[in-house]
Amino acid sequence: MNDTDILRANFTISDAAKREIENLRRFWNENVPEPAGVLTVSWGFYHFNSGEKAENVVISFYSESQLPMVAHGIQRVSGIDLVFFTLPEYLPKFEGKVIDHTPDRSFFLRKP
Amino acid sequence: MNTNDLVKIEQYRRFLRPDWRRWLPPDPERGLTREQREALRHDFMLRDRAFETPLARRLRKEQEAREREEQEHLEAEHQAEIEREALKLKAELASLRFELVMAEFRRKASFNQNQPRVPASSPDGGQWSSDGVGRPGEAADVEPSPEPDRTRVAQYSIGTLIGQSRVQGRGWVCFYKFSFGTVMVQGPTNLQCQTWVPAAGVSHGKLIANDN
Repeated sequence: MNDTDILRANFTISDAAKREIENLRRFWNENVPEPAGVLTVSWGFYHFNSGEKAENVVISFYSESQLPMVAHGIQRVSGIDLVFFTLPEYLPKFEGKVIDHTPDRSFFLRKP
Repeated sequence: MNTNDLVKIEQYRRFLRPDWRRWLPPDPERGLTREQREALRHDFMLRDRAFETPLARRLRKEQEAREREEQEHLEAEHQAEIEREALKLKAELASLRFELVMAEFRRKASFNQNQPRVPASSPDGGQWSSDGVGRPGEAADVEPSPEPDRTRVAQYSIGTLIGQSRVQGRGWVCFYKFSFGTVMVQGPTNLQCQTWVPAAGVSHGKLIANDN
């Protein structure tokens, strides 16, 4: 594998996460200049202003204007079209996991 | 061109006839495999080199110098582009760090942006007003900020792409700036960085306990 490979999604998405993704999409369309196109799932490294660091799954969207450039990477996971934007070294973090959402923890990965 | 090639050129110069092509069959590459064809062409090149005229040699060297120069120019341009990208990213990070330091200073000095100042027309224009509002550092009239709705802020703040860099063998590295910090995401080079990212994965500004 190299840095141009589009990886197959190796996770699923829970119903709670799907509902929250729809909320997020509505929020996006109201607050971002360009409408949300397709969902993206990636792994993020957080550097807080306090100096703390964290890692977590990042849920976002490509805007509609970006769709033609990323259409080749779209795949369907748990009934949702998404682009899995990550590198092979982060695949094990997603392996067999479920993306879930709770009001307390926001989006997170859990075992099935 | 290695030492063996140079030796072979010398041998051809001594023992081969300059009109060696006359003894070749009409299609010398017929029936050869790709590797054999390449070897044959290389051998012919060495023979030609052995009987190269001074003029042909001069033209060849000029051509090689031109190609070398073009290659160096291309490489220098590529290097400059990488350095420009790195500097741009460095500048953005420095700006971020500066903002963080300023925010920390403001917090320490209890800076209140809404505190009244003396009008510009007065000799003390721009100074902090002393009409009961207080000087910097005093907390008069400063309402304690209510406890922020952490869940909403964390979940629904939007981060903007402030820099992206293509790292050899490591794909795209995308940097997003949020009110609470920065987030870095990596992905393959045949996709692209998202322009905005909601801080969907952060809850209450704490580490998320994933099942990893």
